[in-house]
Amino acid sequence: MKFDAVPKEQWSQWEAYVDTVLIPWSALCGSEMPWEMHARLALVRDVMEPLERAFAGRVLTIPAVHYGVGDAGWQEVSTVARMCRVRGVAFVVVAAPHVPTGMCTEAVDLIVCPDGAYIVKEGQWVVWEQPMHPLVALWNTSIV
Amino acid sequence: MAREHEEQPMHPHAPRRQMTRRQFLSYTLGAAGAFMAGGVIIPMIRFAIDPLLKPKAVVPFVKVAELSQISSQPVSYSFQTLQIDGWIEKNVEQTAWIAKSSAGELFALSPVCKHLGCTIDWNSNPQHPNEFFCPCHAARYTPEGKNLAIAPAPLDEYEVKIENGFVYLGGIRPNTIAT
Ligand code: FES
Repeated sequence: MKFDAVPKEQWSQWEAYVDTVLIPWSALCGSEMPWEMHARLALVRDVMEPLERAFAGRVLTIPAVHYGVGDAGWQEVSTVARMCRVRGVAFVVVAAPHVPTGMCTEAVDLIVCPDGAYIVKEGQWVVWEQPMHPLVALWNTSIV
Repeated sequence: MAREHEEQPMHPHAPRRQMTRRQFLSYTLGAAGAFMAGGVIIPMIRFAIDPLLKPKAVVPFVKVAELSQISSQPVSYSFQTLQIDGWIEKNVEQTAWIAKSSAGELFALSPVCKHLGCTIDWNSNPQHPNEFFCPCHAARYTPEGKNLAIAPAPLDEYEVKIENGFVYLGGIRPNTIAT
């Protein structure tokens, strides 16, 4: 579900079930041409939408992180992910146009890109190759 | 006679209730202005809320599957429907799980879990074979969509029409097959 579709009065009933946050990250720095920005956002949208549709009842999409030069954008995503954990979120997924070049962060469980899904293994982003959806695999470690 | 005069006194200097030229002009101009503004604004308001004034459209039936291919084992079929939301029209991909009940009645279930709206799958949990299973919080449903765990209601169903050997699906309604 999207953050703007959650009524304040409903949240106390849903909170226990919505334990996963989806952070869209467009990895822009501002020097892109308008059509490049559009293409980048479309890439992120295309990986986000199937996730949102399939897991609408457990994944909360929050506002996107857009800009950052060099690793700054990814640092921003990592900070947002950590702050989500502080408020009790159990799993954090990032929808991105590509895997970040910056360091892996413990706060992000999964990155979903147009070329596949990536999980952290020994401090590296490793492509997910099993038939089960990586998010379901993550959840299977703790069904609510 | 003199008494009559006393009862109906004449007041020759009382102020007369008369409109001044200034008042007349401002009333006339005000009325004309309001009339002209109404002529512009009312059609704009009508135009803006036009979709709300139209009666709710009936969902058209869409050809989805061949009747001969439907068995008691639910199979997922995808199809496109035109969704009109106010002024926005777009083609939306939909999915239905189509099967025949034990009584031979054909039905098509919505894949949207009645707990919090995730997408259910058929036979995807080895611990619960031949059931619909929701990956989000483990809701389970019978092949006819009856809720077995977590979800508060059975899966919704599509209206079904069979014509010339094909299955057509229409709008979504509450389940009528699950018992
Ligand atoms: S949304 Fe299906 S079990 Fe919660």
